[in-house]
Amino acid sequence: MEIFKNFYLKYYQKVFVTCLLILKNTALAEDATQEAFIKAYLNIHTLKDPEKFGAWVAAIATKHSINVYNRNKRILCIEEQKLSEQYLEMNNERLYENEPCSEYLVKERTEEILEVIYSLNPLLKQMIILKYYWMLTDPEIAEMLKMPIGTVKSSLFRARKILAKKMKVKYQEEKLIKGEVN
Amino acid sequence: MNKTEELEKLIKVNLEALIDSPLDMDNEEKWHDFEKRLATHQKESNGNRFWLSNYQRKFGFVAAFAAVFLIILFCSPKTVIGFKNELFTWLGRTSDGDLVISEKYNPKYKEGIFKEISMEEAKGLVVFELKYPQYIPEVFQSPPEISVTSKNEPKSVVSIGFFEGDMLLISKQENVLLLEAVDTYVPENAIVQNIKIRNDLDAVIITLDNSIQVIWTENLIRFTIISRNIKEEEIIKVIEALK
Repeated sequence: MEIFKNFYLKYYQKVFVTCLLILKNTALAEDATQEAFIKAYLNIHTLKDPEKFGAWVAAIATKHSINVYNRNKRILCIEEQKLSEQYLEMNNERLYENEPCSEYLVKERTEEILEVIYSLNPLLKQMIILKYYWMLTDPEIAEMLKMPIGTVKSSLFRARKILAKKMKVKYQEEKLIKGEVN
Repeated sequence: MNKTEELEKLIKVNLEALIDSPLDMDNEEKWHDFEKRLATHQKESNGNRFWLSNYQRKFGFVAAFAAVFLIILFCSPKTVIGFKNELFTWLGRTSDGDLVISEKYNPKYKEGIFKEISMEEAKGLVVFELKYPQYIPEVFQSPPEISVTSKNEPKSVVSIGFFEGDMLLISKQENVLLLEAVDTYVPENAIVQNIKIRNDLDAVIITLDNSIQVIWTENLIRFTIISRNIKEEEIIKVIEALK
C-alpha cells in the first residue's frame, strides 16, 4: 500500500488534468481520477511494465472519462475558459523559453493550441494525450484501451490533421511578424 | 524538422506545460479520499459476493423447478405444443408470361433423391402442391413408384410411375422458377402437335412409334406425361383427372 501511495501522490495531479481535458468539469474529473486509481489498485497485477504506471492509470482514467462524458454530455458544465486562463497565468514564462518568440506570439499560440485540443472530440483528445504526453506507443495505446491498433493509428492521424489545419493560419501569421515570408 | 515533427513538438510542449503545472491541490487529502473510496468499494464488493451466492442459490431453485415442470409438461400425453407457421413463397411465370406468386406453409424441403416413398411423403418433401391422377388405366394394378429429386432449393422433380409389362405411364411434376429456360429433346421422326387440355391449357403432344409424351405448364408446375403402349385417349383421361 505504501508503494502504491507513492505512485498515487506522484501521478494524481497529472491524471487529474488529463481527465479534466476530456471532461472539462472539475468534480467529474476528480471522480474519474479516483475511480481510475481504484481500478488500478485492484488490477495492479495486470500491469506489465511498472515504469508505465502513470500512463497505465491515465489510460484507465481517459477510458472512464469518455464513458462519463458520453453519459453526461448533455448536462456537462463547461469550464474550459477558466482552465485556459489558469493555465496561461501559470505557464506563460515556461512556454518556448528557448525560442526567440515574443510574449504575444507565445500567448497566442498557447491559447490556440489549447483551444484546438479542447475542440477535439474526447476520443481524439484521449489519443493525443496518451501519445504525446504519456509517451505511449501506438501498440501500447491499443493494448491498454483494448482497441484495434488500426483505430488508434487512424484516430491519431485524424487528430493531427485537425490540429495541423487549425494551426496553419497561426504559423503564417507568426512568420509574417518575424519577416520570414516575403 | 518537417511540419509534422514541428506540430508534434508543439503538441508535446503544450501538453507538458499544461499537465505538469503545479495545481493548488492537497494530494494527501486526495489520498485519504482515495482510501475511503477504496474501503467502500471493497465493502460493496464483498456484499455483492454474498448477494451473488444468495442469488445463485435462488437461481438454482428456480432452475430445478423449471426442469421438473418441463419434464412433466413433455411427458403428459394431453400436452399440446404450438409452433409458428413458416410460409414459403416463390415466384414463377406461366406460359402466357404472367407472373405467379406461390406459397406453401411449413415446407420440409430436403435436398437429395428419395425413392420408393408414399404420396404423402412426397407431398411433404416439396414446396408445391402435388397432383395425383385420379384416373389410371385399369391395366395398371400395381401401386405407383414414387420418387422425388430435390436440388437447388426450392426445385424438385416428382415422378409417379405405373408399370405393367411393356406398358408404362409416368407423371412428372416439377416447379418452374422465374427466368428458367427448359429444353425438350424431340427426335427427328417424332410427330409434334399442340393440343388443348384441362380447361383450355396449351400442351404439346409428341408421338413417336408407340410412345406418347405430353408436356404443359400449369400454375408454375411443369407437367410431363410419359407413356408407352397407352392410347392417346387414355392419356388425356389421366391428364384431365390430375387433382
